[in-house]
Amino acid sequence: MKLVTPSIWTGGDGPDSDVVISTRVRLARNLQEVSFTGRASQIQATEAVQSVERAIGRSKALRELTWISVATLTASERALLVERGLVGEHFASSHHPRGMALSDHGDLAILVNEEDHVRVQAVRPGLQVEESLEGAMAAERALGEHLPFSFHSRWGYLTACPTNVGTGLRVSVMLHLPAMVLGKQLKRLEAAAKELRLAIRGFRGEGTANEADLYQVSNHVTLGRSAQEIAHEFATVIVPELVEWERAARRAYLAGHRWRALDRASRDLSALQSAHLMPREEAMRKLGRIRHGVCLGVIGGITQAALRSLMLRVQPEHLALERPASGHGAEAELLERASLLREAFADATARLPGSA
Amino acid sequence: MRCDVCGKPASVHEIMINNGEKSEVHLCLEHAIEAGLSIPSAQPIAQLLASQGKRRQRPPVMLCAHCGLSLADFKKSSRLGCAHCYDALGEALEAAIIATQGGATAHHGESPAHASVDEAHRLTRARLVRELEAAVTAEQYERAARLRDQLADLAEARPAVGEPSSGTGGASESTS
Repeated sequence: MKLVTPSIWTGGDGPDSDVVISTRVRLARNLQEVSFTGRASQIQATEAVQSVERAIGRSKALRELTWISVATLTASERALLVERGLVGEHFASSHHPRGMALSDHGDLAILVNEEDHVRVQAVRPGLQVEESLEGAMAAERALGEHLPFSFHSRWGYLTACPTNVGTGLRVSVMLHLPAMVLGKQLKRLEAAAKELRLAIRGFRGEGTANEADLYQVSNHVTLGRSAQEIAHEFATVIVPELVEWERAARRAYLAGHRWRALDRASRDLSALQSAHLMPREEAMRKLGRIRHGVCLGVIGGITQAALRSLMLRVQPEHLALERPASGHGAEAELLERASLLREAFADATARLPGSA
Repeated sequence: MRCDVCGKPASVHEIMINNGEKSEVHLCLEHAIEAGLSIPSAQPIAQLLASQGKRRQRPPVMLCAHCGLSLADFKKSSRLGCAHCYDALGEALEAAIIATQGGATAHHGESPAHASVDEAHRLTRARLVRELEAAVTAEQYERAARLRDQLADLAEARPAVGEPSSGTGGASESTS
């Protein structure tokens, strides 16, 4: 089975990548005549999968996507998809008929029988809301030439959860906010989110805690404004403002706490360069702090792109794939993770900013 | 406490703590059900469920005749069952949507392109066949006869490409 790693993990940095890790856009659609996934019979669910697979096969624009029947994947392959953020735990483990289509670079995915029959999602590195929307819309239009989507004259595109109705659009940007966390400014973020009707979630989406000071910010409102309007506001007003807050907090931290910044960076780096047993949670926490250090200029010898890729490589299933020895027992996993990190940070150094 | 939506006395209270920041939601029972709020420990919901249990001999409250979604299903998952639910749930759902969508009252923006008539045709046929089988199993022969006629009409219709597909009732408009 060809399971590509999305380029947001392995590729270059996108715009505003000092703060914005990646952008994701999702469009939810349902087929006419078929009950929503949660109430669909096995027969209906199978019909939905077959319809979408047939539509992809007929579409010139989508024919090149790799079709994956989720039921045929091994447990390990499903876990890889979850760790890459391509699918949720529930979709990966559900017994309902499910399918997905994936582009060569992993930047476009079409999921069948998630909560809605069709979810088109596009991901890009850095802040690329309108580009991601364009990618998702193009795929949605191509599917729409072959599939009759459920559409209501008043409510627009109908979705299983009424909170997605209308455009079916969810724009989500993953932000790295270490300086705002250190400066205890998250309340400001939460107040802004409430006022602008945004959702703030953890690293893995709904219901998850933040890891490595990574936060996903997404729109709550999906009705009453076009997808383009929602995306445009995200790209030009909301995210740039949040990015400026984090940058200002970083400047203030560095101006007021140069030595503390250096001390933290040196200690974190030493831990990664010397530890022999490394739990996943600690690795993620340290990687988040090291990323902050790189952005502040107190850590050199490692790139942001390398750190981004390490955040995926330290996850259990990816670690087992890269270093098969880690697959044998809990301690073996900790040993291999520590070994991976020692190698990755061998050339990294901490220094006072501005010094040679 | 008053309901955040209608101002009536609130009986369901949800407290959320996010990064040490506490926020509260207060709803009357009616709006809590609309919002699909289900808190295992919340007294009013628990009471409601318990009282439903006592009245088990009564049929469940059916919300949508098309997919059979019941009030209990909706309370459990906060998810609708099919496109027809949007019209079947009527004003209660309308109010809940407007409240959660920041006051927006209607869709604005993209609408579907002309989908392939073949696929719409095929999905309609599949639905009619499913309903026909169910009607025969339930010995509803009049209904079965009507469905058989609809299938025959559908086979005869053979709509030309580019025309709207056969209608699907009020909720789900076709591809026009």
